[in-house]
Amino acid sequence: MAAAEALEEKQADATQAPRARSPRRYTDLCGRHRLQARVQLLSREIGFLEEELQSVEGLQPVSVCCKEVDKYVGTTPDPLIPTYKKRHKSCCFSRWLRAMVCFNATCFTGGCSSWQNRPCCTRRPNGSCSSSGGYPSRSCCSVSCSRLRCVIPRLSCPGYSCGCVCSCSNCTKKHA
Amino acid sequence: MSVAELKERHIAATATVNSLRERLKQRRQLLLDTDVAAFAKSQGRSAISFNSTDLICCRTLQGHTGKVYSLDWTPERNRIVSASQDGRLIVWNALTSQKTHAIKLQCPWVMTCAFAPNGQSVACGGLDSACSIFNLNSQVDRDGNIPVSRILTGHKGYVYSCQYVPDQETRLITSSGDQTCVLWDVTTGQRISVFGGEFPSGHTADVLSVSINSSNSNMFVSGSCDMTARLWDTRIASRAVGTYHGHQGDVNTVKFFPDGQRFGTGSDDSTCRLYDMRTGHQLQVYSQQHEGDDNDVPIVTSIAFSISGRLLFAGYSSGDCYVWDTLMAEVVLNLGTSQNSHEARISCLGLSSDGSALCTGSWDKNLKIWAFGGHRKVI
Repeated sequence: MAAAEALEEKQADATQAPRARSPRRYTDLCGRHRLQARVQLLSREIGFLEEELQSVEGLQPVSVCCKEVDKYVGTTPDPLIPTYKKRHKSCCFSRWLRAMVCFNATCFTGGCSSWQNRPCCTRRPNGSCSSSGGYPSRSCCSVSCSRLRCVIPRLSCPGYSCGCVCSCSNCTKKHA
Repeated sequence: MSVAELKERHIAATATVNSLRERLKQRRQLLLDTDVAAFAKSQGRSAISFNSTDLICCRTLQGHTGKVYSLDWTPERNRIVSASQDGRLIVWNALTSQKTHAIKLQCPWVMTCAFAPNGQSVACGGLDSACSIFNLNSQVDRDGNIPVSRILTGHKGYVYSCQYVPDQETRLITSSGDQTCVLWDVTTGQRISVFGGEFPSGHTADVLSVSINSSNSNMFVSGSCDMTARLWDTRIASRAVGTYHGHQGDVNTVKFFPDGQRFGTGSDDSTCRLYDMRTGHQLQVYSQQHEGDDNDVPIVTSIAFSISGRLLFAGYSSGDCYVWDTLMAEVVLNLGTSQNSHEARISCLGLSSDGSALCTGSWDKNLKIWAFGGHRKVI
């Protein structure tokens, strides 16, 4: 009987949920050091912020920076932009020179792009055609090649072709 | 000092920091007399006008069998390296679309890749917390794989971004989940400088991106989950030169403006911003209204500026790739709705060195190259 009671008690104990123990008390050295480090960081941050406050006093307003951005963007040519500014007549020699060097496949000022899936055709001094961009020369030696030439842009011909882009064909005929 | 006293000091210091930040914000607000768009409009500028066929997808680079996470162009010769969830780096000839190298990585969890300035090596990093260097001219091993030439170890967290210092084959900067950026000597594998960390002032959360100033390679900017961008001088690792606030979410991507005096950022808050490096001013916010509830707001994953700075390309988690007119702060084109666009999130993008092409990488496993396909107009 006593043994059965003891067994029953043991089984009852086994089914009971374990009691939560209160945490041991110990000195939280890690927490203290961490807190100290955070305070040091904050002190440093205060110093930096005070320096920055002083430097802001003499700063130029945002409009000056905006003017710089506007000026930079306006004066830098960009191969991905569909418009560009016409230059003055006094620069016509540099325009001509640029137009001549547009036969180079890597020239982007004139619209040449080796990304376009067509041969970049140029005409050699002896009149024969050559191609770049990995395309065979025969792809240039056709009627269309004779129309491909660098045209200096004019008001009457807003677009221009430069070696590998055959555009504004009316204008190329005009200047043929 | 007792813990109680330390706690009091902590509370007081936090209040002082918050007060100083508020005063700084108010002082800067007084200098905010305009932004880039308002200034440009006052000068009579108008937005760039694109036809639907002006910027076209002229190449699709297929070959990865997992999401593309990162890409980088060579400074010349039109090659691209890409890193993917499939655990491979692929080097592509961007003009012919051919793969020149496929590198199977020991740790497949790669997150970033970069081309060395001479185009002879590539670097990558990821969840192994290391940055691996591969020489593309090395002899392949028995399995046909390029062996790793150097492993840069030292970070205590994942490597999320890496970039070689322009014109210096032996210097590389990485950013990490351990809240630091590191400047490495690739030849020796040693850390030259650590930017941030527990004591020096630095980011207080994972650092997700770096961009080195091509006009002054001693300066680089980093973007972090602590919602800030920070400017660093590689010669002074003890503190950040500047901290740029404004974003309301993780700063996932940073890129210097072509003039080297400004930089752009892209964030989880769905905005891109343009900051002035020297003054710290926020010059412009690029933000678009999005339909749907706030939980669906797409995050900005990657940005790049065109060579003039007039265009800002921004890739989003929605698959959109907005082309922003940086002066007018307007979206002038969405490559995400163009013909042959990606079918999933844009995870990375980059401009070729001559500015003639943009490459985008996506979770749809492809890379695409976009170039100008229209006719230029004289104005």
